[in-house]
Amino acid sequence: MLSSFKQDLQEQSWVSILIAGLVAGFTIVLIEIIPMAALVFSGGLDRFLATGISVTLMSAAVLSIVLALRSSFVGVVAFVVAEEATVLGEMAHAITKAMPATATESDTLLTILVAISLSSLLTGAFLWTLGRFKLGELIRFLPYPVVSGFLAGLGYLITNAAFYVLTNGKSGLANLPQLLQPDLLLRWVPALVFAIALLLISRRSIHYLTLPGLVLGAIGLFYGILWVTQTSTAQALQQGWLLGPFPAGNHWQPFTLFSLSQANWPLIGTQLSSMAVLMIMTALSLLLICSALELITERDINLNQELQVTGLGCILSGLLGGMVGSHAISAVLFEKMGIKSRLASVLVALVYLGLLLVGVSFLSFFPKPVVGALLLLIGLDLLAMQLYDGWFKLPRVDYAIVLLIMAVVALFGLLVGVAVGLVVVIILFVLNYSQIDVARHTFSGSGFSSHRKRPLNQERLLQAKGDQACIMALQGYIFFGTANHLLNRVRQRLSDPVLAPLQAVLLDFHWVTGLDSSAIVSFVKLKQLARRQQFQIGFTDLSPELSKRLHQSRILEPEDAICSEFPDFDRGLEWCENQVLSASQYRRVRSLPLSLLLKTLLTEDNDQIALLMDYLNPLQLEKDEVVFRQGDAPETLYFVESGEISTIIDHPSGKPQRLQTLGAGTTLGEVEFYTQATYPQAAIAAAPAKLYGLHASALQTMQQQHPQLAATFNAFMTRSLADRLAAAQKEITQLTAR
Amino acid sequence: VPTAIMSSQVPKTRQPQHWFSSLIAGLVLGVIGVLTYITPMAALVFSGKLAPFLATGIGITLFSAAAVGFVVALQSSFVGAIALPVPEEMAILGAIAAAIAAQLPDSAPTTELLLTVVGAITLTSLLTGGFLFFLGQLNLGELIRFLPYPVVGGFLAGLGCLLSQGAFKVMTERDLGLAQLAAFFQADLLVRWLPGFLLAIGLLAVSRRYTHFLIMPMSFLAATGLFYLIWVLTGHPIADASTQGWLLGPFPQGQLWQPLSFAALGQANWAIVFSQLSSMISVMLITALSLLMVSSGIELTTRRDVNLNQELRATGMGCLVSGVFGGMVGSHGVTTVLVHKMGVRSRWVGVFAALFYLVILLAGLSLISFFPKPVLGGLLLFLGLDLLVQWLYESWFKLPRLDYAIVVLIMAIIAAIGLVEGVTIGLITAIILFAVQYSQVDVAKHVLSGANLSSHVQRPLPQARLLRQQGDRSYILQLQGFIFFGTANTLLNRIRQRLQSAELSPPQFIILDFRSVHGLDSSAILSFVKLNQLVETAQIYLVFANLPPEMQQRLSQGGVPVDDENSFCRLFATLDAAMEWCEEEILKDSHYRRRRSVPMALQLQLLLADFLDGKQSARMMEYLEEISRSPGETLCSPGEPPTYLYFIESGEVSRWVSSGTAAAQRQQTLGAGTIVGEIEFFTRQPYSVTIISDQSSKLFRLSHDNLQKMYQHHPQLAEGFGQFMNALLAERLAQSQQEIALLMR
Repeated sequence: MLSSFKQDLQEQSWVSILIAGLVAGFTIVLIEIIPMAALVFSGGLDRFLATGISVTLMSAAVLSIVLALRSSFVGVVAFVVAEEATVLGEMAHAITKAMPATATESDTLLTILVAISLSSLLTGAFLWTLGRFKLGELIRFLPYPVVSGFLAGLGYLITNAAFYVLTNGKSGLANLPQLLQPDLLLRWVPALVFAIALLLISRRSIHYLTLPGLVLGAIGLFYGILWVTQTSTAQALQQGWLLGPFPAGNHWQPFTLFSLSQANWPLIGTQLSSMAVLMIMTALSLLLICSALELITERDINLNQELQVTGLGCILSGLLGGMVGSHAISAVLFEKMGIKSRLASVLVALVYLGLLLVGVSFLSFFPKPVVGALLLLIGLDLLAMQLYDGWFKLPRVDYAIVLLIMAVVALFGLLVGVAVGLVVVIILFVLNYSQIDVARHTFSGSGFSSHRKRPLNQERLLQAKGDQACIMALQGYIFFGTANHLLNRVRQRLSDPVLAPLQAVLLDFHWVTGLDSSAIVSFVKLKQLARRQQFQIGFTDLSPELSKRLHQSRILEPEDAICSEFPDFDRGLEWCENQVLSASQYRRVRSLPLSLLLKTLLTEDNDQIALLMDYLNPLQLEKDEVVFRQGDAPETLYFVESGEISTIIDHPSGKPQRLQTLGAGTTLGEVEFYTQATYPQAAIAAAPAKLYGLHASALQTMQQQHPQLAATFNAFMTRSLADRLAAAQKEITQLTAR
Repeated sequence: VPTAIMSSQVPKTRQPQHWFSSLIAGLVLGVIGVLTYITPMAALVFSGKLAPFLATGIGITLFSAAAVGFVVALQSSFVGAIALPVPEEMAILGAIAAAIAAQLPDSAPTTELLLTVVGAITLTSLLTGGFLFFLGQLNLGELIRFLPYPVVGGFLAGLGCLLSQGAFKVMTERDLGLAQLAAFFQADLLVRWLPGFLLAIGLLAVSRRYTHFLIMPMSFLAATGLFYLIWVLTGHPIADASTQGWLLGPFPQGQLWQPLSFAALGQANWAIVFSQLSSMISVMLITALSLLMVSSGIELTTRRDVNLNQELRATGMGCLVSGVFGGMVGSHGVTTVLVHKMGVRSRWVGVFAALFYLVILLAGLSLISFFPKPVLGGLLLFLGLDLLVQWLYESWFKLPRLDYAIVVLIMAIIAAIGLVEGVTIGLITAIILFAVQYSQVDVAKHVLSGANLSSHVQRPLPQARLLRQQGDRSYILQLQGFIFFGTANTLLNRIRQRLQSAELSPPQFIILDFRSVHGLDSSAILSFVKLNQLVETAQIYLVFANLPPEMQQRLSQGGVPVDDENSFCRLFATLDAAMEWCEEEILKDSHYRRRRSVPMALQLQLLLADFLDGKQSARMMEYLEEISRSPGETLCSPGEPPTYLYFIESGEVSRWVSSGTAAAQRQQTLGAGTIVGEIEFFTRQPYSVTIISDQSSKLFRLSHDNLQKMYQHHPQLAEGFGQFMNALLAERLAQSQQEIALLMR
């Protein structure tokens, strides 16, 4: 640690660090810590305010030192922030109300303080555990509108508390008619005006000394008015215009074991639920503020480390009888002053401790309207940020959620608000997601053809009868919101009077990320529909887990007449085409001898064909016999006379993928033959096949001996390559089309 | 219309065994309806101050069941549907009646109370009937299909639970609860429910194995016979069976049927009736929900399609008919499943059940008092247990564990609190679980780099090689799905990790392809704001491709300077354009100097070097024809016959594909030293693309005629050129296939 201080001092002058630390320390005490203490001990509890301020200062000092030394964010500032103060305030009020009538003031105070320190211990342990188990990142899953609504709700609560502070606990925002009575009006209107002025100024980027300067100015103004109206300080104290008077001897002191036993423990026990709220709230606030700091300072913060460190700080503070606390957005002060030093944070803590030693009694002359105005500033700033700025930034639906959460927070509390907001946001997300079409593309069979090379007459037939097949590329997570769309799509297609009766439906799962059980039920229904309407369903490109689920629900079964599974889309397409062909009772042509085939393709001249046949080597293959392997050097161009050849590519990860099936009358390996690149795929006989090979050397010989034949042959190959390139380009266009 | 449907159904059901089984099924369901729905529910509505009118109440309920049941039996899309007032609806009607009784002054005559309640019931039926019919007309019934499967399952399991409880209530006249469980195993109660329980188990076992229409009616008759046989054999007089509570009854005495005239309704206190409007609206909603849930449950259990809108219309009509005669609302009962279990498929079942209610209405309830309770309870228990077995036992093997947990949760809530609460909580749970599951989906479908993805710009070899070597400088994420609060941060982390990666050199361009992105929520927008900060700090470019306009607007609204040239963000219409820009930047960075354009003759010599010597390739120029194009000028447009093959000496041309209404998409850009139009030239297919000159370009073209001439005059040159073209086409084909493989991943 010392070394890091040394480094700080080397990089930045000690004078600027000292000044920054002192300025920040006093500013924070003035505009944050006193209002926060007032928030905890607001309304009817201001008689305990002196102790409250002492405890708050002490806890802030403990936390600041721990965090200054261990935080991953250099130049951190920490104290009890508004969220936590609000919960603590509610707890203190509840305890005061529930105390038996016989209890003395000091009993009440002691019980409140014990409850506060117990809550710090619990919260500290909770934060430390969260950090230990790396749960900090979970906060990143909180939807933005919920965070925004949470902050807006908090803004409302703080504004409300500010009114209680200003009216000496008489009235909050909910009680508007009472607030508008003339005697109360005087109490809050000046503060509100000052708060709005501060808000307008602070929303511009201002010098870091402006705010404390204005606050000091306001205090001066307040005493000026007292002087002008000839009111003595004693009168002001009596009329409740000042924070004091503080009862004597009511300073903070560490607990003794004896005093601990005096606390009303059963009552503290009833506050366990509030403490749970505080635990969650502190974690939430810590994480939210850290991500806000990340956003503002553009530095990365290790959330889990912050959780652990703050947890330690809270435990320490709790042991000394202090309250919880966490990172405050005020750390931006240092950023504005251009200081980045752990030492500055330590100095801030020293300022707190110094004030604590001097005693807080002089604070009893602090004007209440100024404290109230500062609280109002915090509350209104939050409201303005979320409600005013949000209006321009958020979509209307999200804005409505923010309002909803704020209303729920005002009525039922912060945690209920966050929970309701989260549920609403999730429901809206699911609604939005269900608007997405399950079918990314829907084609008829004529719009897409498999990589299987087929004789021309078959291709023509497929083009003509293609709409007997319906091909759907499904997408996204198919769930209860979208599953039924799919079924309706097929139903619509079935009832279409224009299109030919459906023979096959091909469902491609390439873009499907998941299925829920409602989707499974839809597929069961689809299968029932297929059985009744006599069409077949093909499933392609299923991931292993999807395939397993479909098998489990018996949609896919071995030897099933209706549903079949194919490893990839291409094979599914081929199956689809076969269905259409067999439905048209198309009979396969028996394979022609190559010489006859060449006659139709190459030239009518029988002599030329006979000459060419001399350059070719016949090759008889059994099923699964290899023509060439992936990585082999190409030397030969093959013609398939009969049978079937599959080209297969081995992916380093995953299953081997079939690229193409080649039937009789097609050529194999011509790309590599001409580019002279090694084979990127293997070729294997899918059925017993007869091939003819043209070796590169044979072609050379042909060029020398029969240039005319070689020219014809080359022109034929050019044409066939160009054909295939055109088909490939068309496929790319289709694949990249939206 | 009803008669038309009926007559079409009649021929199929005229065989004697169908008549018989329909009659038995109708009778059994009629008795079950009277006993488990109508009598207790009437007692629920006509309680408290209305208790003296219980007989009238039973009469009204019987009539309503007959009216709704008759209309639904004839009109439903599900043959064999049974409809009657169901507990969910009656509970609210009970609340309405109690509220009216509380509001009427005590001094009011009791007939005014009765008439006001009947008036409210009538109005509710008419409103609900109209509402249901309207929903059906608007085809809103299909909305229920969005209910998750586990929720419907949980609903059915909950119904099974309630039915089983009801069965025990019929047999023992006690509520079955955890507290009373011990009492149920004491001898006096055990003997009451054990026979029914055994009957239910027996039926369950048999019905899982065989389906024959005679099994149920015969077991029912046999069980009744057996009961009396044992009763007599054990030496009890038959009369004792009734007094000891083994038979149905005793029923409230009094005239069941009291026709109300419209004049009488004038005496009702309509002001109070109208004050109950909000409760009436909840009856409307509950009836619609119950109807749709039960119908889709029936659909699932019987595996037959139900037209939900037809059901809404039919039930709506039924309620209207019932309302016109002063009756209550009603909807499909889950007992319909029993009709299916009995193997009967006839509209006559519902008609017989309705007729049965009317007979009871006229003859009095004493008519059914000879039915033994254990037999009836056993039937009900069978129905309840069947649903429970299906949803608690069988679904264990079929459903994923989480879905199973939802089913159990909903069942527990329905048993403990109520149907509506169970379904609502179940629905919310299912929705949350879906969001959690969806957040597990990886936002980045494919992660690529410049090493394995390049733009469609044909670049000279040294440039292409340089780009491949520096491929790590671009980091390409093809995003997918709906980016929302559950996944947005994962994306951010992924990019952070890549930036901090120790093995790879830091990227200079992060390219996000939004082609498969369906939507962004505001948390995702926030993530992109953070991402923008990240790239600004790291001084790298964030490139958006295929970003739909509405997402672009939302991003810039959120503060991502998507279309700001001064920021680190760039926006391109396609991934290809984005890739091209990045490549250009990388080339610029590497101080790669563009080659000055080389004269065509020299270019040809280089191109054909593998196939021909320099002298021969120089001769090629004789067959070429020089043309020039200014920027934006078209070289070829779709439909034109391919007369020429073009060689580019300088400048740049692009092939653009336009498919249908979609915006034109660039297929390829070709620069100096490349060849364009080769596919069309050799396939002799008319152009399907537009070729446009991007810069002022100088090209040379070769016509088919000149190629012919070349074959005649310089066969060796033509041969070499042919081989060159084959190699070129094969090369491009290989590239295209590679791209297809990449796209198909």
